[in-house]
Amino acid sequence: MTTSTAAVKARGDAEGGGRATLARRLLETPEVGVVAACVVVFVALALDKSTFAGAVNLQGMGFDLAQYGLIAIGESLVILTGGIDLSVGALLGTSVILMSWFNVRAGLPPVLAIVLTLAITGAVGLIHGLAVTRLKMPPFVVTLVTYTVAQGVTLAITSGTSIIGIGGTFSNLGQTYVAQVPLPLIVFAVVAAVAWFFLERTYAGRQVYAVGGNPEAARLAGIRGDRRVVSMYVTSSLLSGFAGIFVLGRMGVGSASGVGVGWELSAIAAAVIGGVSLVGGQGRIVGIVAGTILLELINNGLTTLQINSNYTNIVLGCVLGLAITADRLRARSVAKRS
Amino acid sequence: MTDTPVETAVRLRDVSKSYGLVKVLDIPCLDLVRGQIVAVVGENGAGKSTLMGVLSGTVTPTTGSIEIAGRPLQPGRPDQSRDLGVALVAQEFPLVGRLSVAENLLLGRRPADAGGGLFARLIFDRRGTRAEARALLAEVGVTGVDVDRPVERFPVPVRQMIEIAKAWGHHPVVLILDEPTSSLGPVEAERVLDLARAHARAGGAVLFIGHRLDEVRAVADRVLVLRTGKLVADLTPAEASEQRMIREMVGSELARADLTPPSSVERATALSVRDLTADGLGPVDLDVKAGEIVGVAGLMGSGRSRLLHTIMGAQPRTGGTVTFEGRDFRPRHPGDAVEAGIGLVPEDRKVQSLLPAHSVRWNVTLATLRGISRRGVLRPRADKEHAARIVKDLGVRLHSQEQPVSDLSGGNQQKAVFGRWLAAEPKLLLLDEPTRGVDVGAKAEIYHLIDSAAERGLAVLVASSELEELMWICHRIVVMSHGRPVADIPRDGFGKEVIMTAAAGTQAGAAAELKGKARA
Repeated sequence: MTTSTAAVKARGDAEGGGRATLARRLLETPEVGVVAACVVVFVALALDKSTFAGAVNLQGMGFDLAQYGLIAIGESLVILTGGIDLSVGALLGTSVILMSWFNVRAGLPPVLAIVLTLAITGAVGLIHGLAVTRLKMPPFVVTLVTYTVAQGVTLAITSGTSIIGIGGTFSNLGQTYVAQVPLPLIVFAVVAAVAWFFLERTYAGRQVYAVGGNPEAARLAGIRGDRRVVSMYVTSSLLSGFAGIFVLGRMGVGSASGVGVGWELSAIAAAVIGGVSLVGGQGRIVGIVAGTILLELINNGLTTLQINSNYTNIVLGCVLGLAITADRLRARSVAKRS
Repeated sequence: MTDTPVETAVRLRDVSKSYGLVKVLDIPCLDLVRGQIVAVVGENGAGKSTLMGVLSGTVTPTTGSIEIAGRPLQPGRPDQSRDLGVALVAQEFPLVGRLSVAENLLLGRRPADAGGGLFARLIFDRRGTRAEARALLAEVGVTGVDVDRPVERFPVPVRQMIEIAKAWGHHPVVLILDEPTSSLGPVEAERVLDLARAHARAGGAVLFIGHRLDEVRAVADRVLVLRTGKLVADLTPAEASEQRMIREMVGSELARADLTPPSSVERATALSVRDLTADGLGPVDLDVKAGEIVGVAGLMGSGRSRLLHTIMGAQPRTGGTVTFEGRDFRPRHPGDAVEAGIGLVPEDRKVQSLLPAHSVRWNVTLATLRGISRRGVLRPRADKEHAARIVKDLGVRLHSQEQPVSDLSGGNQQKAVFGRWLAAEPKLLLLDEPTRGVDVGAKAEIYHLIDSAAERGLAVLVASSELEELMWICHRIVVMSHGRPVADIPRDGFGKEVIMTAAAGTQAGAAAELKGKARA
């Protein structure tokens, strides 16, 4: 191709910009695949089992979605900065226990228990952020420490027995419906909307992408990336604590075992399926939410289809593998054509 | 080494490489014969690195076929290229810093005298490795290197020699040297040239990529000139005078008499630096007036980039004062400098400027995000219009502002980076190698941008290793050596000899080094 034709072509495209066909634009949107997958899986399951799309099942999925979705958003914010937060699940488990402990053993009113717990999780996030930015510690290691310690704290507080007798406020928060829609799901939608607005519509959000995409370029462009990174770690930890409220409300007891364990992996999987790049700087809320929904649809669908739950992880793992392969192929075809 | 009786060591047919729309290499036919040192010269971005990459298998050509010593090379297979007998000494050394010298030298292969038994295959032969490493180093003429020490503890020149020894150890048919002497002193440099000659005498082929034209003349049996990816001249040593090589390298673009900086310089001092020191820098005294373009010349490692980075606040300062726009200026982060009205176009576009995966729009608005937002909120319309204005003002050629910036050619990427800063309306613009990796056409456009910015009253500080560039665009050139300014030359005193002498300072033989860098 000669330079002159290239220049002419470039000029023509620069004028219109909208000449690209819809199909091409769809192909260039990374989130298309996962959204389409959500629709396909939902329709297929709904056609196969009428109970799947029933109100009761949808409400159940709504509760699940809120739990996983909140920490998936926090996790994604950290991944966007080029880091990783392994502690989201363990911290959620700990905040469940902390809230019940403050409420039952320390006798504090539920609201105060929530505020205290959120303050603690926020402080943990602050420590993560400062360790990563100031001490230049690898995020993987920093949050691995919290992951371990948080699980230990949960055990130490409860000695393995669940805390019962928590205040009614929690179940009100965790089990209320607003016009048939579970309250936690509405909260999740609001959080997702706020996160979307932050990332797409504020300059601070754009700077998060810049820091994750190329920290040195961002620094030399005058962006104080450390602040953005720290605030994303704090947000992630806060969202873990926040999700803990709904988990506690739904279960009704401060369960000592198994709450939040392994959830960080679901959160990371949701982010990756939704098109978030693990090296940072790439990914959007639409994809993250769709990724969470897809995981939940599959999880719930397998139950509806009465498939042995021992197989669930195999299916989820395969979906994750499929998602990253598809994304890789799509990115490669886009790169080739340009 | 010469077990195959093929005269031709390398045969290229219709080899081309395109990135997107840009064809960076296009060679219809090229043969390299044994026993010759072939020098390849060309400006930055002329396609030299791509040619080497194609031969060594790290770059997959878009079209064409390659034969090494009569055997076809599967494109994009570094391991196969090595097995066929291509050894590359790169400019940036892919040495494993933590491993010892010996381990690096024998990386990816085994000592020659190692047994073939299962035991010998599995176990790392420490003694054999050490012995062979010592022998190799002696062969390339390096003495006094402890082969057990980690490579990262050695200074750059030694590492360069280790890298050469490593390539030598493969007993290659084709030895590719990519500016092997740029980091070496005169003595080591001569030793490398001798090695190249020895290799050619022994029946090997040498591909020598050089910037120092005197060196090229001294060593080459044949000189190839690349310009924008094409082979524009194939010269015998007799033909390859420095003037001829330069003419071929820059093509018709040499006529640049019209390029003079704007004349009016009577404005106030914008930047005033006194006794500025930092790691590897200073003390520096420097004044830049508004509307003035000041060049910073100097050898590699003379502190050009450091000066810019220290003024920007990207590198901590250890002493001295900077007065900017009449006020004491102490940036603790580049963010402070941006707020005060300073912009920096760094040296390495890919690493220091661009968000490669993100759109042109995001890249050009990066330094002005806060300005175009209202209470922290970006309005998509305003955002797009702002970016469109920048792209249009700078004449960046693109399909749409939403396409990834990495799709653009080097010149357009650089214009986008300029646009990012000009949009911030700075009072001082720091430019580090403003036209590195930029094609000739875009170069002229960038010079024009710098000129018109200065006309509007911007103070400009340009660091560059290309002397011609500085002599074209600057009012004044400050020459640095060993971290401090050693000369301040006004425009009517410009001359390569003057600048080179100053840059070389007390260092004997360094004049030649700068000469090479100036590509003259």
